[in-house]
Amino acid sequence: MEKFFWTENLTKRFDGLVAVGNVSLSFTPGVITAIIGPNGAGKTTFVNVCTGVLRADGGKVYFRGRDITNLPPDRRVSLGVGRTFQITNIFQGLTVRENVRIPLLSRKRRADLEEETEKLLSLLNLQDVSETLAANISHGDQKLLEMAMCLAVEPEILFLDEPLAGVTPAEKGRIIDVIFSLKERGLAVVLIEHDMDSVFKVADEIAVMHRGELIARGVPEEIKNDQRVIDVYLGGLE
Amino acid sequence: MKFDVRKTAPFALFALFVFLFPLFGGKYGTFLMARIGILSLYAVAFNVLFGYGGLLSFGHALFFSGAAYGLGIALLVLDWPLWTGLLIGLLVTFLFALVAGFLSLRHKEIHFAMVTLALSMLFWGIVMKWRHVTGGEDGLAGISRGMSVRAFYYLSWTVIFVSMAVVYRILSSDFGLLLRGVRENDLRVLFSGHSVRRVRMIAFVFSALFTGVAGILWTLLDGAVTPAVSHWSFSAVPVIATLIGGPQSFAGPIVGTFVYVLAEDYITKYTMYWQIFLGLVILAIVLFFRGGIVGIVYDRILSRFVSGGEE
Ligand SMILES: Nc1ncnc2c1ncn2[C@@H]1O[C@H](COP(=O)(O)OP(=O)(O)OP(=O)(O)O)[C@@H](O)[C@H]1O
Ligand SMILES: [Mg+2]
Repeated sequence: MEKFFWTENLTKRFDGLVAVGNVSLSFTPGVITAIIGPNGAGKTTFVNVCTGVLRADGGKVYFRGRDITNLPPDRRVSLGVGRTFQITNIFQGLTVRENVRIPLLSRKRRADLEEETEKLLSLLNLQDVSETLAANISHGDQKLLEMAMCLAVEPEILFLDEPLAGVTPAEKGRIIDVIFSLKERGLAVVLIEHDMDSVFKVADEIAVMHRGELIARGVPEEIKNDQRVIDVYLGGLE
Repeated sequence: MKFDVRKTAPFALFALFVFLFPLFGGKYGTFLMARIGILSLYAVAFNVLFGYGGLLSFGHALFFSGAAYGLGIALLVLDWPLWTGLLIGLLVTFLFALVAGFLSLRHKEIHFAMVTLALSMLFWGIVMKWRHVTGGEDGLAGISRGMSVRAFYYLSWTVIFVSMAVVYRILSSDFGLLLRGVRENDLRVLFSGHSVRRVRMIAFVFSALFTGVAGILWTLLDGAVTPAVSHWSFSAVPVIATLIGGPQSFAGPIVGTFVYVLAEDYITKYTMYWQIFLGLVILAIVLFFRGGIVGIVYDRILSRFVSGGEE
């Protein structure tokens, strides 16, 4: 298969600590890849380096055959790399509609802004709160809003950093539905999540990180039975 | 833009007041009122960066005086015609804005403020030393505005209103939305596919240019350029006026400038303690009334009458 988005020996250090060490991973359109691992394993740092929030100390990031290791975030976004953050990252002081409009404005093809806004709001079920300040909607709605903002720039790969953390069961269902719909649209989805029931339900492939290293990669069945993964992570969750 | 009586009526009344003022304000009053208008434009332009963009510039005197000296030098030293002088003034401000924006916008918060302050002090130093061109501490006197104070009053208020309308349009456009986005959360703006540096730079240049317009009007009104307008304390004027009026609304800096100039004019007539008074007012606002006068009026009075809005 032709490679779509991949990293080669990606490394990030904080002082002495190797937060991400020599990680080579690839992601495929239409496939949901989960990255799991204990707290502090380096999952968020890996995403930060892939999306340009942090500079790599070693290794490369490629997208569609192009070396994007040193591009600033906005350039990566316009190429088709989107992300959500572990701590929801939206414009708290703007209305939900304004939140969605800002990323829409960066589209090259300036289609009908109003129409696109409505489409996104209804896709993520946010029409009822469209005029509310983002700070005042529920936590689950904020997570959905952040996803709407990511979709507005029409990404081809979307990194989701713990989209299910702290949401109600009903909201969780809605967010999972959205994740499935992203896969159907052909996006490469990279899901970082601690909720193992959901991970094993939605992921096509799973990568496991531990102390900055990639220790396993495979389909859910393989990962479930991998002795090393059980030892460092899954075993401790029972 | 939708027609909103609540917003339009006060504005129309204000415009009418400005229009009729010279009929009863007297010569000095008319002069003072022209000054207030010019400084209001200065504060509004400053607040594009501060209230909307979240960037506190402490060096806007650089752009005000850049235009003033550009005009003054073109007219008096180079002996060029008025129209060329106006263009030179704006061009100088534009170039200053490009350089200052390039140097300052890589920093945020206090560092940004310090870079803008440092650049304006640098210019002040040049103005004071480069005597045969800038006139040093004497400045450049003898610029003719070619009309009476009253005529110039109407001309400058027209320029002020038009400039403010343009700024208002910019701020309510999608660009204004982007700018507020940068203030709220610059990381999310990046991940929305926009260059934060570019948004800040455009806002910076706009803000500087309208500050330059104010600088030009000021110079023509005074008939002279003095180094006082390039001193760092002159950068503080829009900061203080905006804090008094409130940075969160478009009208805040205008209201603040009225209060600032009138209070200064009144108080300095009777005592030497204007600075003490000013210090107390700033303290009170920063400690108790962050929203400034417009914030107080809105929170305490208007919000009672406006029902069914947000919240
Ligand atoms: N900006 C930073 N400066 C210094 N150390 C950091 C920084 N960001 C992360 N770290 C450290 O790097 C390691 C990896 O952190 P990271 O946030 O990537 O883990 P994670 O797998 O996302 O964990 P979690 O599941 O808790 O979100 C941790 O030891 C963390 O303390
Ligand atoms: Mg994390």
